[in-house]
Amino acid sequence: MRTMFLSDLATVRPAVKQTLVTFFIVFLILLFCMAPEGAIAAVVVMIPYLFFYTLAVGDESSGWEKMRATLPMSRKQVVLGRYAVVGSLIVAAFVVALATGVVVMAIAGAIPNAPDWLARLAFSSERLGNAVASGVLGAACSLLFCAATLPFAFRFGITRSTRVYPILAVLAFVMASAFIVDQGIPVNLDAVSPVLICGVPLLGAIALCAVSMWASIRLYEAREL
Amino acid sequence: MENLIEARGLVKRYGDFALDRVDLEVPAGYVVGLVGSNGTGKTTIIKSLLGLIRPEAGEVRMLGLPLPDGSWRQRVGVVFDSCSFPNDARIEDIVRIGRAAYPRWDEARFWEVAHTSGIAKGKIVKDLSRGMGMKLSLAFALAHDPQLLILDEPTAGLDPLARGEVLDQLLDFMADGTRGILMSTHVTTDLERIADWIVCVDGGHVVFTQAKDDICSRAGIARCRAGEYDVLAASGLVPVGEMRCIARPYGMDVLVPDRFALERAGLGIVCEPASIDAYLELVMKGETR
Repeated sequence: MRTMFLSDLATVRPAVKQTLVTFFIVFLILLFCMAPEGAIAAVVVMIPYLFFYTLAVGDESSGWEKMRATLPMSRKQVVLGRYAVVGSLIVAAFVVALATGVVVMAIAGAIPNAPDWLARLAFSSERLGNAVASGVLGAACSLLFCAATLPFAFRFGITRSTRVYPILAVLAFVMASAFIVDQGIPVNLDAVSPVLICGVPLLGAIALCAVSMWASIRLYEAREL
Repeated sequence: MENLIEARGLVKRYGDFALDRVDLEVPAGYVVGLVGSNGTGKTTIIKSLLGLIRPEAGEVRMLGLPLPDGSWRQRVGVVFDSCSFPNDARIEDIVRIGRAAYPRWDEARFWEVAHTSGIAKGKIVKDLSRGMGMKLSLAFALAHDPQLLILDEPTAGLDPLARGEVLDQLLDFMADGTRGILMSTHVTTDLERIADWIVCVDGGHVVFTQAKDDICSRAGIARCRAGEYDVLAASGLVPVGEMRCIARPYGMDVLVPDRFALERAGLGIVCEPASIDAYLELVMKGETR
């Protein structure tokens, strides 16, 4: 698994600088459009998504996936390593996004007589709690995305899987929207603890990732390279 | 003699192509060359040996271990026909991957081979020329003290000097007599230099397994002019029904298993040593009489 971790880090490292620049630009733009909490959630979803494709494309470029399969590393270890890398990227995105959000909030609050558009970003303990919650929900979305897409990538490779992903995304969006329009949100969120609002989706996403990992191992062990 | 590779009855079907009960051995201390036209199954055989694909029938043992065991991978080095590392990785990243993957990784050995090949620290894989990329692949394969090398077109696209350097490294690898190489290649002159056995594959099955010396030192191509073919056929030097011939503008080329016997027979027929290419042409395309 360590071999897989190192090889994936070698693949994503060149993209880190560019991704951080993209992140900061997008984050600042989102700050003007929504509250910091929303911006944090959005980038925690976006950054792992970008790296996910970098890793998947890296597998197929130059025959690395085939070469990697000749190393003394089982296919199970390859899958576990990939999930570990993606999980680490989600955690890193959460930390970077939250830290950036806190810094922006602190700066906004420290400027005296700030204009309204800046003052609304000012730090507060409630805002910090909301930022953490947004980050956690963003991480849960990222985990759900990975849980849904990694088995396809392991079975078919990224080139063929990209034909499936848009269908999955549209289906998920349409079904969720139809359910909410038809049934409404079945829980009174005002009466539920914020810890549960964040914790249940996160734990659910982690559980789905575990199932996804099991499926990916079965699919990848059967795949011919 | 221990077989580093032992494959029996390999069968693998892809649409209208099939590997048909292929047997293959690579004994310790030997270099086995795998030759054949494009699409005849050489890469399919190699992929089957490496566990990249699953044969539908047959048995493979690598370093004496059954294929699914997997632990044999620690002693096998692989080079494909192009540099197969992540494009944006640095040479140091490749070293870290090797160090993590192989318990017997020898970093000093890697850099010794790399420096000899002109590969410097800090280089990025995508910036390496084709020749440098192949040398990197070979340095990686050699650095963990493998007992067996499996090479799929390792010198394809290399200039003659680079090819010579690669072949020298392979000869050094074989020097202690306990290791083995399976090398698939179209560059038969490389095999004439380093191989011990030649395995020819065509249409998914093994056409012949022959000692290289029997091809390049013993066999010959008789350049028969008018009338000489009948003399050769009547001499009994080539078994009846096994004469491989190709018609030429000047007459007929005939594959002679033992050119020294032909010379001793004093028939006055010009007979030149066979190259692997000429031998393959006569076996694969020659008319049998």
